[in-house]
Amino acid sequence: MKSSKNAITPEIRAKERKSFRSRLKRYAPLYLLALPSFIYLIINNYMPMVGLTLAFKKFSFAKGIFASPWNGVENFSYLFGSKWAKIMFKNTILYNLVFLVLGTVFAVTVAILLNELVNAKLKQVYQTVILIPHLFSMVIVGYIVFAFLGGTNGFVNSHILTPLGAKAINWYTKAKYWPVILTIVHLWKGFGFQSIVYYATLVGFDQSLYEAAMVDGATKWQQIKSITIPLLKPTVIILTIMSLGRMFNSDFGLFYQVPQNNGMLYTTTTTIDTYVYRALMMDNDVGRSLAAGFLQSILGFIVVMLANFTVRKVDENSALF
Amino acid sequence: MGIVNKKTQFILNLIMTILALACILPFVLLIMASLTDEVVLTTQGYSFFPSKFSLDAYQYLLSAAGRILRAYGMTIFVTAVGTTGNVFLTMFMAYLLSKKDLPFRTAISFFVFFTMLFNGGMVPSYLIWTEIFHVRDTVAGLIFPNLFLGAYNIILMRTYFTSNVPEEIIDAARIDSCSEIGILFKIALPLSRPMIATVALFSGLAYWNDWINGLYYLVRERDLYTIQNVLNTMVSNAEFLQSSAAISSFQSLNISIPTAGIRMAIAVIAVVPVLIIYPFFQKSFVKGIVVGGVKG
Amino acid sequence: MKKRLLSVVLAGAMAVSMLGGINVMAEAGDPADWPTVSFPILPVVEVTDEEAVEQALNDYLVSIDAGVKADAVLIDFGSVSQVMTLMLSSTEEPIDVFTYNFFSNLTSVVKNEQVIPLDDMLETYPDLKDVIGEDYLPLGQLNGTQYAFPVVGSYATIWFYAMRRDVAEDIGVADRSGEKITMDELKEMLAAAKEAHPEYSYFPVGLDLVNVQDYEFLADNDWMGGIPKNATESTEIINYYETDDFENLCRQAAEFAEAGYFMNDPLNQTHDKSHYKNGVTGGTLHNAFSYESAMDDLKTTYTQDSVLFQLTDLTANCSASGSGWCVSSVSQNPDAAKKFLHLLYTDENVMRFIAQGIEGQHYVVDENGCSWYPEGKSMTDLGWSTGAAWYFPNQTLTLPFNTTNVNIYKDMIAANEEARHSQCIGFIFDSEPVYDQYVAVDSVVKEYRDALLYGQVDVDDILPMFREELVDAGIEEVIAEKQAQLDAFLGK
Repeated sequence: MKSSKNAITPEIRAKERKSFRSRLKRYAPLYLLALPSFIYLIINNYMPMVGLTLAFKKFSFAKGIFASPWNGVENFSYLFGSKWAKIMFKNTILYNLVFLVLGTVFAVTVAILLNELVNAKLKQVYQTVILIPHLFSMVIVGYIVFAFLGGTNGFVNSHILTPLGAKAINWYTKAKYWPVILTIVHLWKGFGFQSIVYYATLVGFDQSLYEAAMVDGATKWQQIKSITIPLLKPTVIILTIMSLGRMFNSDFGLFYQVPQNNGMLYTTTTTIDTYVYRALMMDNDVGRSLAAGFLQSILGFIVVMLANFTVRKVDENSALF
Repeated sequence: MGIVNKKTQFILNLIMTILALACILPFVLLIMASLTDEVVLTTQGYSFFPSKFSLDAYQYLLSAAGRILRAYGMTIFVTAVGTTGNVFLTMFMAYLLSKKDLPFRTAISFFVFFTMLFNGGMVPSYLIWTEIFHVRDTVAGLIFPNLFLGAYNIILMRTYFTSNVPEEIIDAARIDSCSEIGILFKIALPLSRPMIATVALFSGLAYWNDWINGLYYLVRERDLYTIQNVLNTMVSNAEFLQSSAAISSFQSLNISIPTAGIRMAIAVIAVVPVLIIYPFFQKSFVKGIVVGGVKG
Repeated sequence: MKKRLLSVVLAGAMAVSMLGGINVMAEAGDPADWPTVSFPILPVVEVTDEEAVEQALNDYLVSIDAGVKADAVLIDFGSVSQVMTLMLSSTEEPIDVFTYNFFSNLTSVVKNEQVIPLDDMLETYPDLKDVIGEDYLPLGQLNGTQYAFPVVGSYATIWFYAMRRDVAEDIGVADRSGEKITMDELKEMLAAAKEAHPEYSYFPVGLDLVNVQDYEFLADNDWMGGIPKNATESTEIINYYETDDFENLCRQAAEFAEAGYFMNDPLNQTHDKSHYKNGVTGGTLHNAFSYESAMDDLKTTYTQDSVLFQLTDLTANCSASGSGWCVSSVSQNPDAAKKFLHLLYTDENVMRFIAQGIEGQHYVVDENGCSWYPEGKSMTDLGWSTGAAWYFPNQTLTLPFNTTNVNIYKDMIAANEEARHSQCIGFIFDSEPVYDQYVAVDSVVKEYRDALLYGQVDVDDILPMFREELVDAGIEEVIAEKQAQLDAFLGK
């Protein structure tokens, strides 16, 4: 029975692929089912995009979005022309790359570890506990980091460096340490949450593949290498492409609240978002803030198109669109 | 084999325990900080064994106990309704996109993904939701803007459908003349329980932690505030009372408000309910979906 | 196509809602037809009696045939920027009368067209000139147009060093309270205090030390350009960061940090005087318009028995010029809004309802005319945000609260007159022509200044770097533009 179906299927598919109209008809109920989702995205996401024009306008609260006067690219100029331009673009991109690579590796590893665990009770405990950091706001994370790195009473200085006879470090005035600190904080906060996606994908796999492999005498490591990782690949690719779209955005809380906006750390903690926030803090300039967002989106868009194009060339099914 | 397996399991548990401790110890530190006297917190820093305990922070929260409880109720309602809606909208769109031979598939995928990249900022969004849909000062203002459906979850679920729901089964069902909607509900969704739980978790957390909608859309109806709004208000008030701008002119301030302590206490009471509910989600993450069995 | 259609529909909907707003103001006929004016209140405690107070206020407005009703909108301090930005963008139930205090400044609200000109109010309501004082009207003007009215308040200030009385007694200076001392004398006292009480630090807000140097910074928190001697002699703006004064301030900070006068990890602490109140510091810089009012603050607000040493003269400059109230450009009924704004400046009952609540319920009045918490009530269970009159248009109409000094507002106004005035009062800098340099310099200032002024870095290493980067970022262009605008303002 199984084999007979498999034999027919490609033929059916081939036949139906010919007819655009029959496919349209077949999927009509599914289109209909997804209609509310379409409408929602149009209302919630596409209609407000009218506001993107404000990136090129001097927004007047009295005149509104449409009647505000155009001002060319004036809203963009504050982002360039000072030493900060180089600092913020460099930081934003480099942190994102590091976070993407390490974050993915870390999350996938944890998902596989969880999947390999036998004890169901412990598994549940781990799964709950590693989610905790994700539940804290970045302000709270900032306090926790301070508890560790405070100059006088911080855990690292008072319990590690001083007892070892090393000199206490004034962490909040030494910019060079912060790339490492922020990476650790980012991974710590996000790994539990990120690994859920991979774990959910893992437990949903056809277990018969593993059973077959076990019968063939494959070791755990071989199973992971030749079954688990290939099966996770599409998810990894999709999540990576989505992250690339946000290549020029940054987690504001991580870069602003965690270093507690300490000036001496700006060279390694300033990203596009924190610079924009600081610049616009007191004048609520809607146009300038949208200009920055627009620039980030456009650059992210270009990166995604390139990435998606490349993926499509290699493996059409893994592409995002 | 058995011994090797035991050893492996031991190492796995060891690694996971270390990671788990890295997550839970800061949480314990937070709880201790919320119980530490404010002056001690400022002068001696955070400690697992503070030299002076204080319940001031919780007492301050207790002064608004009625409001906090009502806000919990509001949050639970909004989270339940919003998450349910989100999961269904996500599923339907994602399933549509998972069809490899779907007409306009690329265009629709692009349509969905595009919303992740571009947004028009808070002002236009506010104008549309208030001036056209009039959600201001209603519960709808907490549920619909922004959180009801997102491209991230759609794409996540689409990927799951394409990689975890084998086409053979779907084709088999078609031959048994099952309708496309029937296939979705009878085959695809039952096979996707872990991902549905994941999306529900993501969406649920987004609703649980949200305070932006309350801030933007509940201007005159503070009775509808969610727990995050109430807690944010308390933090902001406590902070403001401490700030020099207020203090130089506030001749009436004769109470002591532990700002840092309150932040900690608030973090604790906002996190604990999630930790209680989360294990129920985990029931959906059970291994053992054997596709071969379905093929039968 | 669909998208375009929708955006057209959207445009239409917005246009209609804007046109619909133009409305002729009702005469003071039937109160049911009176327009309602909304205004913000920034509560610091849970407000449970909003309806009761609004009811009482509106009953009063009916009783005086005001022709306008009022609606208070509660906005938290922490979110005032976002909420105000949104409410000022929509004509649907907009905010009509508001203050830019806490989230913006006069230049920004005018540039963003969030406010309307109020010149006509001075003709319709000539008494405003007397209430606010002709000298202070320019604080709400930009390019000669009145966009806002300044709050009636204290513009003049004296800087004191406040020290815990027990500490002062231990080092034998308690009897000198009220005396004017020099910075060197203060340093001697601090050295003695630190020796007697090493458990305390002595400056919760280190940056305040700049105020002793008597510069007019033209209300720029970044100190981009200052005028020495409070701009009483010259109006030439100089780059403050290049001066010896700034270098001395840095070196003094390094000294203070070494001596332990700042708190531990000063860069990570909130810089506010609550640390003095909480007993973390043994003293603090404090400013007020008189010795008595400073003493009052310390007793009631900081609950510390203190002695005060005067460091500066009574001075008025741009930094103390407070904020103002205006009418929003989305207001559907600007005439009603103006009418209500006028009441906020002139009607003591209206001000008292808003700032103090209902007599008997939210405050009680003693035989001297001072107001107090009702018996057994405190700030947290009062139900109304009482005691925050200072950000409302005219606090002097309210009853002195939680103090026995019934003349507190009279003294405040008198101090405004007596103070040594900067020539630049009323000047407001518009950063737009040098915006890019302005934000770049701002970031450089934030990068280095706090670390220098809390003595956390080596002055010889960092100060030259700081100065160089300020110039690279364009501080000189900013100062030149500032000077040009100031000269124009002064009519040079």
